[in-house]
Amino acid sequence: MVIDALLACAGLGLVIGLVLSAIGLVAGLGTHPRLVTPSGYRDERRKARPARVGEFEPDRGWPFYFFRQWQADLGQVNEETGRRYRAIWKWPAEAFFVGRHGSRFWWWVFFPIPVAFLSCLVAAGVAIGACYLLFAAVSFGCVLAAGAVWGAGAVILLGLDAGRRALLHTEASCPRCFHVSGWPAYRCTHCAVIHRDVRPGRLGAIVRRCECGTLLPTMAQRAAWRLRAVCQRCGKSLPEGVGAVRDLRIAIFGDAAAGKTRFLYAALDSLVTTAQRAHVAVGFLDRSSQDRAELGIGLVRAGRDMPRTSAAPTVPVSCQLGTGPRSTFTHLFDTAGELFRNPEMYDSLGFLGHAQGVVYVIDPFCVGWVRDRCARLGPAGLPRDRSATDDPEAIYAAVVEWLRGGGVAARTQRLAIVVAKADLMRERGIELPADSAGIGAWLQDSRAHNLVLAAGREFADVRFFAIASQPGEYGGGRYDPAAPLRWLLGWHADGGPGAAGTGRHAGADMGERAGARS
Amino acid sequence: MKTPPQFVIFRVVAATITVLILATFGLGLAGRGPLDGLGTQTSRVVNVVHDNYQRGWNG
Repeated sequence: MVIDALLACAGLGLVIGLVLSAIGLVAGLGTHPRLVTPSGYRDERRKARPARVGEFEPDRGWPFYFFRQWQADLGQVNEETGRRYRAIWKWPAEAFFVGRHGSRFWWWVFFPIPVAFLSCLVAAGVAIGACYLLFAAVSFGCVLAAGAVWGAGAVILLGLDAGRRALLHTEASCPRCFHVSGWPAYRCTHCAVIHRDVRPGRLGAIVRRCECGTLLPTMAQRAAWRLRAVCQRCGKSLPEGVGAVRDLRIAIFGDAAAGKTRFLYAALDSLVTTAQRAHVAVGFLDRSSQDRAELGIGLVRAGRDMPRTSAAPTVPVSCQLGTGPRSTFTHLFDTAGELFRNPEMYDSLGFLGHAQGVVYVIDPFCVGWVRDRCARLGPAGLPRDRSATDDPEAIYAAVVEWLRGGGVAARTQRLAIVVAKADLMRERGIELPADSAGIGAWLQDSRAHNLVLAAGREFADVRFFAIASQPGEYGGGRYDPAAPLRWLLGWHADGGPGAAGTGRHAGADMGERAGARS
Repeated sequence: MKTPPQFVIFRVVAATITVLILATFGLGLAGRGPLDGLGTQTSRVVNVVHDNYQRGWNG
Protein backbone atom coordinates (compact mmCIF):
# COMPACT_ATOMS: atom_id res chain seq x y z
CA MET A 1 0.00 0.00 0.00
CA VAL A 2 2.72 2.47 1.03
CA ILE A 3 5.00 1.46 -1.80
CA ASP A 4 2.16 1.82 -4.27
CA ALA A 5 1.42 5.30 -2.95
CA LEU A 6 5.09 6.26 -3.27
CA LEU A 7 5.26 4.84 -6.80
CA ALA A 8 2.12 6.78 -7.69
CA CYS A 9 3.66 10.01 -6.33
CA ALA A 10 6.85 9.33 -8.25
CA GLY A 11 4.82 8.63 -11.39
CA LEU A 12 2.96 11.89 -10.92
CA GLY A 13 6.35 13.62 -10.47
CA LEU A 14 7.60 12.11 -13.71
CA VAL A 15 4.55 13.43 -15.53
CA ILE A 16 5.03 16.88 -13.96
CA GLY A 17 8.70 16.77 -14.95
CA LEU A 18 7.80 15.88 -18.53
CA VAL A 19 5.25 18.69 -18.72
CA LEU A 20 7.72 21.21 -17.26
CA SER A 21 10.38 20.07 -19.72
CA ALA A 22 7.98 20.50 -22.61
CA ILE A 23 7.01 23.98 -21.40
CA GLY A 24 10.69 24.87 -20.91
CA LEU A 25 11.53 23.63 -24.40
CA VAL A 26 8.76 25.66 -26.00
CA ALA A 27 9.60 28.76 -23.95
CA GLY A 28 13.38 28.47 -24.39
CA LEU A 29 13.27 27.83 -28.13
CA GLY A 30 10.03 29.41 -29.24
CA THR A 31 8.38 32.07 -27.14
CA HIS A 32 11.30 33.48 -25.10
CA PRO A 33 14.47 32.49 -26.94
CA ARG A 34 17.81 34.15 -26.28
CA LEU A 35 19.09 35.31 -29.64
CA VAL A 36 22.80 35.80 -30.23
CA THR A 37 22.56 38.81 -32.53
CA PRO A 38 25.23 39.74 -35.08
CA SER A 39 26.26 42.74 -32.96
CA GLY A 40 26.40 40.63 -29.81
CA TYR A 41 28.43 37.96 -31.52
CA ARG A 42 30.78 40.55 -32.97
CA ASP A 43 31.30 42.06 -29.52
CA GLU A 44 32.07 38.64 -28.09
CA ARG A 45 34.61 37.93 -30.80
CA ARG A 46 36.11 41.37 -30.48
CA LYS A 47 36.53 40.81 -26.76
CA ALA A 48 38.00 37.36 -27.23
CA ARG A 49 40.42 38.49 -29.92
CA PRO A 50 40.83 42.22 -30.42
CA ALA A 51 41.65 43.30 -33.95
CA ARG A 52 45.35 43.84 -34.49
CA VAL A 53 46.94 46.58 -36.53
CA GLY A 54 45.88 46.25 -40.14
CA GLU A 55 42.95 43.98 -39.30
CA PHE A 56 39.29 44.91 -39.47
CA GLU A 57 36.50 44.28 -37.00
CA PRO A 58 34.50 41.10 -37.63
CA ASP A 59 31.57 41.55 -40.01
CA ARG A 60 28.03 42.05 -38.77
CA GLY A 61 26.31 38.91 -39.91
CA TRP A 62 24.41 36.06 -38.29
CA PRO A 63 26.85 33.38 -37.17
CA PHE A 64 26.27 29.80 -38.23
CA TYR A 65 24.01 28.06 -35.64
CA PHE A 66 26.62 25.75 -34.19
CA PHE A 67 29.18 28.47 -33.52
CA ARG A 68 27.23 30.12 -30.77
CA GLN A 69 23.44 29.95 -30.91
CA TRP A 70 23.08 26.31 -29.88
CA GLN A 71 24.82 27.04 -26.58
CA ALA A 72 22.50 29.99 -26.01
CA ASP A 73 19.49 27.76 -26.77
CA LEU A 74 20.63 25.08 -24.32
CA GLY A 75 21.17 27.72 -21.65
CA GLN A 76 17.78 29.27 -22.25
CA VAL A 77 15.92 25.92 -22.12
CA ASN A 78 17.76 25.12 -18.89
CA GLU A 79 16.87 28.50 -17.44
CA GLU A 80 13.20 28.34 -18.44
CA THR A 81 12.76 24.78 -17.11
CA GLY A 82 14.78 25.44 -13.96
CA ARG A 83 12.78 28.57 -13.15
CA ARG A 84 9.50 26.63 -13.26
CA TYR A 85 10.92 23.72 -11.30
CA ARG A 86 12.15 26.06 -8.59
CA ALA A 87 8.68 27.63 -8.51
CA ILE A 88 6.95 24.31 -7.73
CA TRP A 89 9.51 23.65 -4.98
CA LYS A 90 8.83 27.00 -3.34
CA TRP A 91 5.69 26.18 -1.31
CA PRO A 92 6.70 22.69 -0.10
CA ALA A 93 10.19 23.88 0.84
CA GLU A 94 8.79 26.83 2.79
CA ALA A 95 6.18 24.62 4.50
CA PHE A 96 8.31 21.59 5.38
CA PHE A 97 11.73 23.16 5.99
CA VAL A 98 11.20 26.86 6.82
CA GLY A 99 7.86 26.76 8.60
CA ARG A 100 6.17 29.60 6.79
CA HIS A 101 2.90 27.71 6.31
CA GLY A 102 2.25 26.37 9.78
CA SER A 103 4.48 24.56 12.26
CA ARG A 104 7.18 22.34 10.75
CA PHE A 105 6.60 19.92 13.64
CA TRP A 106 2.99 19.23 12.70
CA TRP A 107 3.88 18.86 9.04
CA TRP A 108 6.35 16.12 9.97
CA VAL A 109 3.90 14.52 12.41
CA PHE A 110 1.81 13.90 9.33
CA PHE A 111 4.93 12.76 7.53
CA PRO A 112 3.24 10.93 4.63
CA ILE A 113 2.20 14.29 3.25
CA PRO A 114 5.75 15.79 3.06
CA VAL A 115 7.13 12.45 1.90
CA ALA A 116 4.55 12.26 -0.89
CA PHE A 117 5.29 15.84 -1.94
CA LEU A 118 9.03 15.38 -1.82
CA SER A 119 9.00 12.08 -3.72
CA CYS A 120 6.84 13.71 -6.36
CA LEU A 121 9.20 16.71 -6.66
CA VAL A 122 12.35 14.59 -6.68
CA ALA A 123 10.88 12.41 -9.43
CA ALA A 124 9.94 15.58 -11.37
CA GLY A 125 13.54 16.79 -10.98
CA VAL A 126 14.88 13.48 -12.23
CA ALA A 127 12.53 13.63 -15.24
CA ILE A 128 13.53 17.23 -15.99
CA GLY A 129 17.23 16.41 -15.72
CA ALA A 130 16.86 13.38 -17.98
CA CYS A 131 14.86 15.33 -20.56
CA TYR A 132 17.39 18.16 -20.54
CA LEU A 133 20.31 15.79 -20.91
CA LEU A 134 18.53 14.08 -23.78
CA PHE A 135 17.84 17.41 -25.48
CA ALA A 136 21.44 18.51 -24.95
CA ALA A 137 22.72 15.24 -26.41
CA VAL A 138 20.42 15.53 -29.42
CA SER A 139 21.40 19.18 -29.97
CA PHE A 140 25.06 18.27 -29.71
CA GLY A 141 24.56 15.46 -32.22
CA CYS A 142 22.79 17.79 -34.66
CA VAL A 143 25.48 20.43 -34.25
CA LEU A 144 28.21 17.82 -34.71
CA ALA A 145 26.62 16.48 -37.90
CA ALA A 146 26.00 19.96 -39.29
CA GLY A 147 29.48 21.05 -38.23
CA ALA A 148 31.09 18.14 -40.03
CA VAL A 149 29.21 18.93 -43.25
CA TRP A 150 29.82 22.67 -42.86
CA GLY A 151 33.47 22.20 -41.94
CA ALA A 152 34.21 19.99 -44.92
CA GLY A 153 32.35 22.33 -47.25
CA ALA A 154 33.97 25.45 -45.84
CA VAL A 155 37.47 23.99 -46.03
CA ILE A 156 36.95 22.93 -49.67
CA LEU A 157 35.48 26.30 -50.65
CA LEU A 158 38.19 28.21 -48.77
CA GLY A 159 40.85 26.16 -50.54
CA LEU A 160 39.24 26.76 -53.93
CA ASP A 161 38.94 30.46 -53.20
CA ALA A 162 42.54 30.80 -52.03
CA GLY A 163 43.84 28.66 -54.89
CA ARG A 164 41.98 30.69 -57.50
CA ARG A 165 43.22 33.92 -55.98
CA ALA A 166 46.82 32.75 -55.90
CA LEU A 167 46.79 31.31 -59.40
CA LEU A 168 44.92 34.05 -61.20
CA HIS A 169 45.99 37.05 -59.10
CA THR A 170 42.45 38.23 -58.59
CA GLU A 171 43.35 40.87 -56.04
CA ALA A 172 41.27 43.98 -55.59
CA SER A 173 43.22 47.14 -56.29
CA CYS A 174 41.82 50.57 -55.69
CA PRO A 175 42.68 53.06 -58.43
CA ARG A 176 42.26 55.95 -55.98
CA CYS A 177 44.23 55.00 -52.90
CA PHE A 178 46.39 52.24 -54.52
CA HIS A 179 45.39 49.85 -51.76
CA VAL A 180 45.63 46.25 -52.89
CA SER A 181 43.79 43.59 -50.92
CA GLY A 182 43.17 39.92 -51.52
CA TRP A 183 39.48 40.61 -51.97
CA PRO A 184 37.35 43.74 -51.79
CA ALA A 185 34.72 44.59 -49.23
CA TYR A 186 31.08 44.38 -50.34
CA ARG A 187 28.04 46.39 -49.41
CA CYS A 188 24.85 44.64 -48.39
CA THR A 189 22.26 45.12 -51.13
CA HIS A 190 19.61 46.09 -48.58
CA CYS A 191 21.19 47.99 -45.67
CA ALA A 192 24.55 48.94 -47.33
CA VAL A 193 26.53 47.66 -44.34
CA ILE A 194 30.06 46.74 -45.42
CA HIS A 195 31.12 43.08 -45.26
CA ARG A 196 34.88 42.96 -45.31
CA ASP A 197 35.52 39.24 -45.41
CA VAL A 198 33.10 37.29 -47.58
CA ARG A 199 35.16 34.12 -47.58
CA PRO A 200 33.44 30.95 -46.30
CA GLY A 201 33.65 31.11 -42.53
CA ARG A 202 31.75 31.49 -39.29
CA LEU A 203 29.03 33.53 -40.95
CA GLY A 204 28.32 30.95 -43.63
CA ALA A 205 29.94 28.59 -46.08
CA ILE A 206 27.89 29.23 -49.22
CA VAL A 207 25.78 32.21 -48.20
CA ARG A 208 25.82 34.53 -45.22
CA ARG A 209 22.99 36.48 -43.68
CA CYS A 210 23.55 40.17 -43.05
CA GLU A 211 22.32 41.69 -39.80
CA CYS A 212 19.35 43.07 -41.74
CA GLY A 213 18.41 39.54 -42.84
CA THR A 214 19.55 39.77 -46.47
CA LEU A 215 21.29 36.70 -47.84
CA LEU A 216 24.65 37.48 -49.43
CA PRO A 217 26.86 35.11 -51.42
CA THR A 218 30.24 34.13 -50.00
CA MET A 219 33.49 34.00 -52.01
CA ALA A 220 34.61 36.97 -54.07
CA GLN A 221 34.06 35.15 -57.35
CA ARG A 222 30.32 34.93 -56.62
CA ALA A 223 29.88 38.17 -54.70
CA ALA A 224 31.72 40.15 -57.39
CA TRP A 225 28.80 39.92 -59.81
CA ARG A 226 25.94 40.37 -57.35
CA LEU A 227 27.15 42.91 -54.78
CA ARG A 228 28.73 46.33 -54.95
CA ALA A 229 32.43 46.14 -54.22
CA VAL A 230 34.22 48.86 -52.27
CA CYS A 231 37.86 49.44 -51.38
CA GLN A 232 38.88 47.91 -48.06
CA ARG A 233 40.74 51.07 -47.11
CA CYS A 234 39.05 54.14 -48.59
CA GLY A 235 35.55 52.67 -49.01
CA LYS A 236 35.18 53.99 -52.56
CA SER A 237 33.28 51.94 -55.11
CA LEU A 238 35.23 49.49 -57.26
CA PRO A 239 34.25 48.19 -60.70
CA GLU A 240 31.98 45.19 -61.07
CA GLY A 241 33.90 41.93 -61.09
CA VAL A 242 36.82 43.16 -59.01
CA GLY A 243 38.12 40.38 -56.79
CA ALA A 244 36.89 37.72 -59.21
CA VAL A 245 38.90 38.53 -62.30
CA ARG A 246 42.61 38.78 -62.87
CA ASP A 247 44.01 42.12 -61.78
CA LEU A 248 47.23 43.19 -63.44
CA ARG A 249 49.07 46.28 -62.31
CA ILE A 250 51.81 47.62 -64.50
CA ALA A 251 54.04 50.49 -63.40
CA ILE A 252 55.84 52.47 -66.08
CA PHE A 253 58.89 54.37 -64.97
CA GLY A 254 61.85 56.10 -66.51
CA ASP A 255 63.57 59.45 -66.74
CA ALA A 256 61.62 62.62 -67.48
CA ALA A 257 60.94 62.96 -71.24
CA ALA A 258 62.00 59.36 -71.88
CA GLY A 259 58.72 58.75 -73.73
CA LYS A 260 56.74 56.97 -71.00
CA THR A 261 53.42 58.67 -71.59
CA ARG A 262 53.58 58.36 -75.36
CA PHE A 263 54.53 54.70 -74.93
CA LEU A 264 51.56 54.14 -72.60
CA TYR A 265 48.96 55.53 -74.97
CA ALA A 266 50.54 54.08 -78.08
CA ALA A 267 50.70 50.68 -76.38
CA LEU A 268 47.09 51.01 -75.34
CA ASP A 269 46.05 52.03 -78.84
CA SER A 270 47.93 49.11 -80.35
CA LEU A 271 46.41 46.77 -77.78
CA VAL A 272 42.92 47.96 -78.67
CA THR A 273 43.71 47.40 -82.37
CA THR A 274 44.88 43.86 -81.67
CA ALA A 275 41.89 43.24 -79.42
CA GLN A 276 39.42 44.36 -82.06
CA ARG A 277 41.07 42.03 -84.56
CA ALA A 278 40.71 39.17 -82.08
CA HIS A 279 37.13 40.17 -81.19
CA VAL A 280 38.06 40.79 -77.57
CA ALA A 281 36.14 43.62 -75.92
CA VAL A 282 38.21 46.43 -74.41
CA GLY A 283 36.63 48.88 -72.03
CA PHE A 284 37.71 51.38 -69.40
CA LEU A 285 36.98 50.87 -65.74
CA ASP A 286 36.21 54.50 -64.99
CA ARG A 287 35.35 57.70 -66.76
CA SER A 288 38.65 59.36 -65.90
CA SER A 289 40.64 56.52 -67.50
CA GLN A 290 38.51 56.69 -70.62
CA ASP A 291 38.88 60.47 -70.97
CA ARG A 292 42.65 60.40 -70.48
CA ALA A 293 43.06 57.45 -72.84
CA GLU A 294 41.00 59.12 -75.56
CA LEU A 295 43.03 62.31 -75.21
CA GLY A 296 46.38 60.50 -75.16
CA ILE A 297 45.54 58.20 -78.07
CA GLY A 298 44.32 61.20 -80.02
CA LEU A 299 47.66 62.96 -79.50
CA VAL A 300 49.63 59.86 -80.53
CA ARG A 301 47.58 59.40 -83.70
CA ALA A 302 47.94 63.08 -84.55
CA GLY A 303 51.70 62.85 -84.04
CA ARG A 304 51.60 65.70 -81.53
CA ASP A 305 53.77 66.09 -78.44
CA MET A 306 52.56 64.67 -75.16
CA PRO A 307 52.12 67.10 -72.27
CA ARG A 308 54.55 66.61 -69.42
CA THR A 309 53.22 64.13 -66.84
CA SER A 310 52.13 65.83 -63.65
CA ALA A 311 54.21 65.18 -60.56
CA ALA A 312 50.95 64.85 -58.61
CA PRO A 313 50.12 61.40 -57.21
CA THR A 314 49.88 58.93 -60.06
CA VAL A 315 46.41 57.93 -61.23
CA PRO A 316 46.32 54.76 -63.33
CA VAL A 317 44.64 54.26 -66.66
CA SER A 318 42.47 51.24 -65.87
CA CYS A 319 41.00 49.11 -68.62
CA GLN A 320 39.23 45.79 -68.92
CA LEU A 321 40.27 43.25 -71.52
CA GLY A 322 37.44 40.86 -72.30
CA THR A 323 34.15 40.53 -70.50
CA GLY A 324 32.80 38.60 -67.56
CA PRO A 325 34.76 36.30 -65.25
CA ARG A 326 37.46 35.62 -67.85
CA SER A 327 38.39 39.24 -68.32
CA THR A 328 41.50 40.99 -67.06
CA PHE A 329 41.64 44.32 -65.28
CA THR A 330 44.79 46.17 -66.29
CA HIS A 331 45.99 49.25 -64.45
CA LEU A 332 48.74 51.24 -66.12
CA PHE A 333 50.60 53.64 -63.85
CA ASP A 334 52.45 56.38 -65.67
CA THR A 335 54.88 57.93 -63.23
CA ALA A 336 56.42 61.35 -63.68
CA GLY A 337 60.19 60.99 -63.97
CA GLU A 338 60.65 63.81 -61.47
CA LEU A 339 59.24 61.61 -58.70
CA PHE A 340 62.33 59.43 -58.83
CA ARG A 341 64.68 62.33 -58.45
CA ASN A 342 63.03 63.68 -55.33
CA PRO A 343 63.28 61.42 -52.26
CA GLU A 344 60.44 63.36 -50.62
CA MET A 345 58.10 62.12 -53.33
CA TYR A 346 58.90 58.46 -52.72
CA ASP A 347 55.74 58.06 -50.65
CA SER A 348 53.64 58.61 -53.75
CA LEU A 349 55.21 55.57 -55.41
CA GLY A 350 53.25 53.08 -53.31
CA PHE A 351 51.78 51.40 -56.39
CA LEU A 352 55.26 50.24 -57.46
CA GLY A 353 55.34 47.71 -54.65
CA HIS A 354 52.05 46.15 -55.76
CA ALA A 355 52.80 46.02 -59.46
CA GLN A 356 53.23 42.56 -60.95
CA GLY A 357 54.81 44.06 -64.04
CA VAL A 358 57.23 46.94 -64.31
CA VAL A 359 58.15 48.72 -67.53
CA TYR A 360 61.35 50.73 -67.60
CA VAL A 361 61.41 53.14 -70.52
CA ILE A 362 64.82 54.25 -71.76
CA ASP A 363 65.37 57.15 -74.08
CA PRO A 364 68.12 56.00 -76.46
CA PHE A 365 69.16 59.62 -77.02
CA CYS A 366 70.54 59.77 -73.49
CA VAL A 367 73.16 57.14 -74.45
CA GLY A 368 76.45 58.93 -74.93
CA TRP A 369 77.54 57.57 -78.30
CA VAL A 370 74.04 58.00 -79.77
CA ARG A 371 73.96 61.66 -78.72
CA ASP A 372 77.44 62.20 -80.15
CA ARG A 373 76.57 60.60 -83.45
CA CYS A 374 73.28 62.48 -83.76
CA ALA A 375 74.96 65.77 -82.84
CA ARG A 376 77.33 65.25 -85.78
CA LEU A 377 74.32 65.14 -88.10
CA GLY A 378 73.71 68.82 -87.50
CA PRO A 379 70.79 70.74 -85.99
CA ALA A 380 68.31 68.09 -87.12
CA GLY A 381 70.38 65.32 -85.55
CA LEU A 382 68.88 65.40 -82.10
CA PRO A 383 65.08 65.13 -81.78
CA ARG A 384 63.22 68.43 -81.72
CA ASP A 385 61.21 67.39 -78.63
CA ARG A 386 62.64 67.03 -75.20
CA SER A 387 64.98 64.16 -74.46
CA ALA A 388 65.99 62.51 -71.24
CA THR A 389 69.36 63.58 -69.96
CA ASP A 390 70.12 61.29 -67.10
CA ASP A 391 72.04 58.05 -67.12
CA PRO A 392 69.55 55.15 -67.64
CA GLU A 393 71.11 53.33 -64.73
CA ALA A 394 70.41 56.17 -62.28
CA ILE A 395 66.60 55.99 -62.43
CA TYR A 396 66.69 52.21 -62.43
CA ALA A 397 68.86 52.24 -59.31
CA ALA A 398 66.44 54.70 -57.63
CA VAL A 399 63.46 52.42 -58.29
CA VAL A 400 65.20 49.29 -57.12
CA GLU A 401 66.34 51.11 -54.01
CA TRP A 402 62.76 52.22 -53.38
CA LEU A 403 61.51 48.65 -53.80
CA ARG A 404 64.16 47.26 -51.48
CA GLY A 405 63.58 49.98 -48.92
CA GLY A 406 59.89 49.20 -48.88
CA GLY A 407 60.50 45.49 -48.38
CA VAL A 408 59.05 44.63 -51.79
CA ALA A 409 60.40 41.42 -53.23
CA ALA A 410 61.39 42.58 -56.70
CA ARG A 411 61.98 38.95 -57.55
CA THR A 412 58.23 38.47 -57.75
CA GLN A 413 57.91 41.12 -60.46
CA ARG A 414 58.55 41.01 -64.19
CA LEU A 415 60.52 43.76 -65.81
CA ALA A 416 60.17 44.92 -69.40
CA ILE A 417 63.05 47.19 -70.40
CA VAL A 418 61.81 49.29 -73.29
CA VAL A 419 64.06 51.30 -75.55
CA ALA A 420 61.70 53.94 -76.93
CA LYS A 421 61.90 56.21 -79.97
CA ALA A 422 63.09 53.46 -82.31
CA ASP A 423 61.47 55.35 -85.20
CA LEU A 424 63.54 58.46 -84.48
CA MET A 425 66.67 56.32 -84.26
CA ARG A 426 65.87 54.76 -87.62
CA GLU A 427 65.47 58.21 -89.16
CA ARG A 428 69.02 58.94 -88.02
CA GLY A 429 70.41 55.77 -89.48
CA ILE A 430 70.55 53.72 -86.28
CA GLU A 431 68.55 50.52 -86.50
CA LEU A 432 67.70 49.04 -83.13
CA PRO A 433 67.49 45.24 -82.90
CA ALA A 434 63.98 43.83 -82.70
CA ASP A 435 64.60 40.79 -80.50
CA SER A 436 65.08 40.79 -76.73
CA ALA A 437 68.61 39.36 -76.76
CA GLY A 438 69.70 41.81 -79.43
CA ILE A 439 68.39 44.81 -77.50
CA GLY A 440 70.01 43.54 -74.31
CA ALA A 441 73.33 43.27 -76.16
CA TRP A 442 72.82 46.73 -77.66
CA LEU A 443 72.31 48.18 -74.17
CA GLN A 444 75.39 46.38 -72.87
CA ASP A 445 77.42 47.81 -75.72
CA SER A 446 75.96 51.23 -74.91
CA ARG A 447 77.54 51.26 -71.46
CA ALA A 448 74.36 50.15 -69.71
CA HIS A 449 75.78 46.70 -68.95
CA ASN A 450 75.33 47.20 -65.19
CA LEU A 451 71.62 47.80 -65.76
CA VAL A 452 71.28 44.67 -67.91
CA LEU A 453 73.15 42.48 -65.43
CA ALA A 454 71.44 43.89 -62.34
CA ALA A 455 67.96 43.60 -63.85
CA GLY A 456 68.48 39.89 -64.50
CA ARG A 457 69.48 39.41 -60.88
CA GLU A 458 66.84 41.57 -59.28
CA PHE A 459 63.62 40.69 -61.11
CA ALA A 460 61.84 37.41 -61.71
CA ASP A 461 62.00 37.77 -65.45
CA VAL A 462 63.42 40.44 -67.73
CA ARG A 463 62.79 41.03 -71.41
CA PHE A 464 64.02 43.81 -73.66
CA PHE A 465 61.93 45.63 -76.26
CA ALA A 466 62.48 48.36 -78.78
CA ILE A 467 59.36 50.30 -79.58
CA ALA A 468 58.21 53.13 -81.77
CA SER A 469 55.13 54.93 -80.54
CA GLN A 470 53.76 55.25 -84.05
CA PRO A 471 50.44 53.91 -85.38
CA GLY A 472 52.33 52.30 -88.27
CA GLU A 473 53.88 49.83 -85.86
CA TYR A 474 50.62 48.68 -84.29
CA GLY A 475 49.37 45.12 -84.34
CA GLY A 476 52.63 43.19 -84.51
CA GLY A 477 55.04 45.58 -86.26
CA ARG A 478 58.81 45.37 -85.72
CA TYR A 479 58.63 48.00 -82.99
CA ASP A 480 55.06 47.38 -81.84
CA PRO A 481 54.52 49.46 -78.65
CA ALA A 482 52.05 46.92 -77.28
CA ALA A 483 54.64 44.11 -77.28
CA PRO A 484 55.78 44.76 -73.66
CA LEU A 485 52.17 44.86 -72.44
CA ARG A 486 51.32 41.67 -74.29
CA TRP A 487 54.29 39.97 -72.70
CA LEU A 488 53.22 41.14 -69.23
CA LEU A 489 49.60 40.17 -69.87
CA GLY A 490 50.69 36.68 -70.89
CA TRP A 491 52.16 36.14 -67.44
CA HIS A 492 49.65 33.48 -66.48
CA ALA A 493 49.44 31.67 -69.75
CA ASP A 494 53.00 31.19 -70.82
CA GLY A 495 54.15 28.89 -68.04
CA GLY A 496 55.85 31.64 -66.03
CA PRO A 497 55.78 31.83 -62.23
CA GLY A 498 52.22 31.59 -60.98
CA ALA A 499 51.00 30.04 -64.23
CA ALA A 500 47.36 29.18 -64.06
CA GLY A 501 47.54 26.06 -66.14
CA THR A 502 43.84 25.92 -66.79
CA GLY A 503 43.05 29.58 -66.24
CA ARG A 504 42.87 31.31 -69.58
CA HIS A 505 42.36 34.99 -69.55
CA ALA A 506 41.59 37.64 -72.04
CA GLY A 507 45.15 38.93 -72.17
CA ALA A 508 46.60 35.58 -73.17
CA ASP A 509 43.70 34.57 -75.38
CA MET A 510 43.88 37.81 -77.26
CA GLY A 511 47.50 37.37 -78.26
CA GLU A 512 46.88 33.85 -79.47
CA ARG A 513 43.76 34.68 -81.45
CA ALA A 514 45.36 37.71 -83.04
CA GLY A 515 48.39 35.59 -83.92
CA ALA A 516 46.20 32.87 -85.44
CA ARG A 517 44.34 35.40 -87.60
CA SER A 518 47.46 37.09 -88.85
CA MET B 1 15.08 41.27 -35.03
CA LYS B 2 13.85 38.38 -37.13
CA THR B 3 15.23 34.96 -36.24
CA PRO B 4 17.08 33.44 -39.21
CA PRO B 5 15.33 30.34 -40.66
CA GLN B 6 18.50 28.35 -40.12
CA PHE B 7 18.10 28.73 -36.33
CA VAL B 8 14.44 27.74 -36.50
CA ILE B 9 15.25 24.63 -38.51
CA PHE B 10 17.94 23.53 -36.06
CA ARG B 11 15.67 24.11 -33.07
CA VAL B 12 12.72 22.30 -34.61
CA VAL B 13 14.88 19.34 -35.64
CA ALA B 14 16.54 19.03 -32.21
CA ALA B 15 13.24 19.37 -30.33
CA THR B 16 11.46 16.91 -32.64
CA ILE B 17 14.16 14.28 -32.27
CA THR B 18 14.08 14.71 -28.47
CA VAL B 19 10.30 14.32 -28.38
CA LEU B 20 10.43 11.29 -30.65
CA ILE B 21 13.01 9.59 -28.44
CA LEU B 22 10.95 10.35 -25.33
CA ALA B 23 7.79 9.10 -27.01
CA THR B 24 9.55 5.91 -28.05
CA PHE B 25 10.64 5.35 -24.43
CA GLY B 26 7.18 6.17 -23.13
CA LEU B 27 5.52 3.76 -25.53
CA GLY B 28 8.16 1.18 -24.69
CA LEU B 29 7.32 1.44 -21.00
CA ALA B 30 3.67 0.92 -21.95
CA GLY B 31 4.66 -2.21 -23.88
CA ARG B 32 4.23 -0.71 -27.34
CA GLY B 33 6.40 0.48 -30.15
CA PRO B 34 9.97 -0.52 -31.01
CA LEU B 35 11.05 -0.56 -27.36
CA ASP B 36 8.09 -2.69 -26.16
CA GLY B 37 10.49 -4.90 -24.19
CA LEU B 38 10.85 -2.07 -21.70
CA GLY B 39 7.27 -2.71 -20.48
CA THR B 40 8.07 -6.29 -19.46
CA GLN B 41 11.27 -5.22 -17.73
CA THR B 42 9.42 -2.51 -15.81
CA SER B 43 6.71 -4.93 -14.68
CA ARG B 44 9.39 -7.30 -13.47
CA VAL B 45 11.06 -4.55 -11.45
CA VAL B 46 7.71 -3.52 -9.93
CA ASN B 47 7.00 -7.14 -8.98
CA VAL B 48 10.41 -7.50 -7.36
CA VAL B 49 9.80 -4.32 -5.35
CA HIS B 50 6.39 -5.61 -4.23
CA ASP B 51 7.72 -9.04 -3.27
CA ASN B 52 10.58 -7.55 -1.30
CA TYR B 53 8.24 -5.17 0.45
CA GLN B 54 5.87 -7.95 1.46
CA ARG B 55 8.71 -10.14 2.70
CA GLY B 56 10.40 -7.26 4.43
CA TRP B 57 13.47 -5.63 2.83
CA ASN B 58 15.89 -7.66 4.94
CA GLY B 59 14.40 -11.00 3.96
